[in-house]
Amino acid sequence: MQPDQIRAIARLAHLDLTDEELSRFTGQLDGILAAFAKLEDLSLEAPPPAGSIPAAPLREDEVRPFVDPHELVEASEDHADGFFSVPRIL
Amino acid sequence: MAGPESATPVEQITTAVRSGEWSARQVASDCLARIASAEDRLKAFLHVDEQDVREQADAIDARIQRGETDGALLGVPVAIKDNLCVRDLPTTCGSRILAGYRPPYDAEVVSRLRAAGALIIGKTNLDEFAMGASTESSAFQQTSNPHDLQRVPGGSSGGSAAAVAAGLVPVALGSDTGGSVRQPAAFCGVVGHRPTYGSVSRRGLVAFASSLDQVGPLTFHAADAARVLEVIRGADPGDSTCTVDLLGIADSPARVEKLRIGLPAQYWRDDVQAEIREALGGVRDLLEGAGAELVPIDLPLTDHAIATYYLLVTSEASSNLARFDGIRYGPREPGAELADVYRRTRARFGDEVKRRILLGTFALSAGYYDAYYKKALNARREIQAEFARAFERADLLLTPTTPTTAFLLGEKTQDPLELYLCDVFTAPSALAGIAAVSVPVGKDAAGLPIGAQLLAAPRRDHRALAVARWVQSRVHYSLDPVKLEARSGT
Repeated sequence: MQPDQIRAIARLAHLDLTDEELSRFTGQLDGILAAFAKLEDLSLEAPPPAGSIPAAPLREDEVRPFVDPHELVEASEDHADGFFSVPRIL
Repeated sequence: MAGPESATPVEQITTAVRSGEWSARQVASDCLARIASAEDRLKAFLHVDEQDVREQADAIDARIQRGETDGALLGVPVAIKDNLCVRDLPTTCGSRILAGYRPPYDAEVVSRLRAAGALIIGKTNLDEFAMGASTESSAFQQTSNPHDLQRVPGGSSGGSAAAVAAGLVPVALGSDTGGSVRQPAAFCGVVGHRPTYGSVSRRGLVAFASSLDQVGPLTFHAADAARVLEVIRGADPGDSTCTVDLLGIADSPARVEKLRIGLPAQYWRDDVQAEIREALGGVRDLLEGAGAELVPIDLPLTDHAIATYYLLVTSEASSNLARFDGIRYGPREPGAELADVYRRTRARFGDEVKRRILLGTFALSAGYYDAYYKKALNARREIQAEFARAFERADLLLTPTTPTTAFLLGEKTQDPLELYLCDVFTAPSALAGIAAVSVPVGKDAAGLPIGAQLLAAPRRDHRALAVARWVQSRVHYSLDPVKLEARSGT
């Protein structure tokens, strides 16, 4: 992996990296991906049917009231009138 | 004073509390005193609200006074990993990005513990967002292994494992994504159970990798883990993977002489620490001596499990952790524009979390998705199929939980890949979603605990726990809490 590539990924993930972090992470992620290249040895055909995980059926999609939704909003640092506050975007 | 010793079986505590021999208040006070005397060295807890614990205890005593003595965990102190929401206590996930956040509701497992009469003692330390195998990536403090304070407790549920091993609490909850209950249990010499995927609700567990995360108990006694499982398991409409009761019927106690015990060649390797191989050999011989049939098992994809696991968990984490941006949870860093707020707030993530978000974002990005994420998904299905075939030939698989005993603090912090390899014996079963238990079976020459892992087919949790109990009753392993080294200079 190249530093430019890491910088582009960091931008996608809303992460600001310092130059020191960029250089360190580039080396580390390169090493990790090189070790994971062993997956390329596997010749996997089309995906086999899901194996041993028991499939949980979905419940009916019913509305269930949350006890106090305002409490969730009030647990945030910046809120007003039951809404999350954010910087003006328009 | 007549308060319970910490390695007292849970049943003994509930019986004493129910009969009035011990008050819940007394149990709580003893527990808080033990924590106060050990925490300066252990640092297992991130938050303990003593007044809240005493109020819970008084409420339980009042219940008992009214004749309401039901509850499988009546008066039992339980510590909760700090990635599970407990109402009005901080839930930080060991991260500066959630410093001070107090969720307004209990995780489903915490509600069930309370309904069963448990005392919620506090929140235990963990690797940041449960990402790690040593609890060293916590942003707040370094937990030590009670058997040797210079060593890691394992991770990511290191605070929970250390608290149980040091006798601060008889029960703790952890979460296991790729071994985060079992590996610290092995390192600290306690029992750790990863339940079958989908058998225990994760509502109120802060998500890391949703296709793998499971909540599980850490206890001194395997019988206690089974009891806690009975409390926390079962359908919850609040978790779409847990809409039916998978473990509806507890297995009858395992009859060891009828069991086929599988020994996977890829786990019984020469590069596993010699003392671990020896201890596991002892367990194998005990089982064979009792009449169990030993079955050689081949799981060739084991060597591909780490790559598969890390590509999938980092991909899921990069998506799950997108919600931490300063708007809804935790502190917010100021910024003129929304994107500035996001980036400045997310600078609060630690190195390991940033690395995993970067790796996951990369594995999911255009041009790399097929080569990494999709390939790992396919490999996971093959690994699941491999385990399913193994369980046609064996009732349980017996393996080491870890390739080594607990390592030194700081020993692996410079090389993330080396830490990832700690999951080599626990990640494959997590990918397969099967039941898994780690049980202490001995110590190495340095006095560090050794864990044996019992793997069972999905829904066979009670079979694995029953055999863990059988093993625990026969191996030479002290069931006394660890006595901590004295503080230096005292």
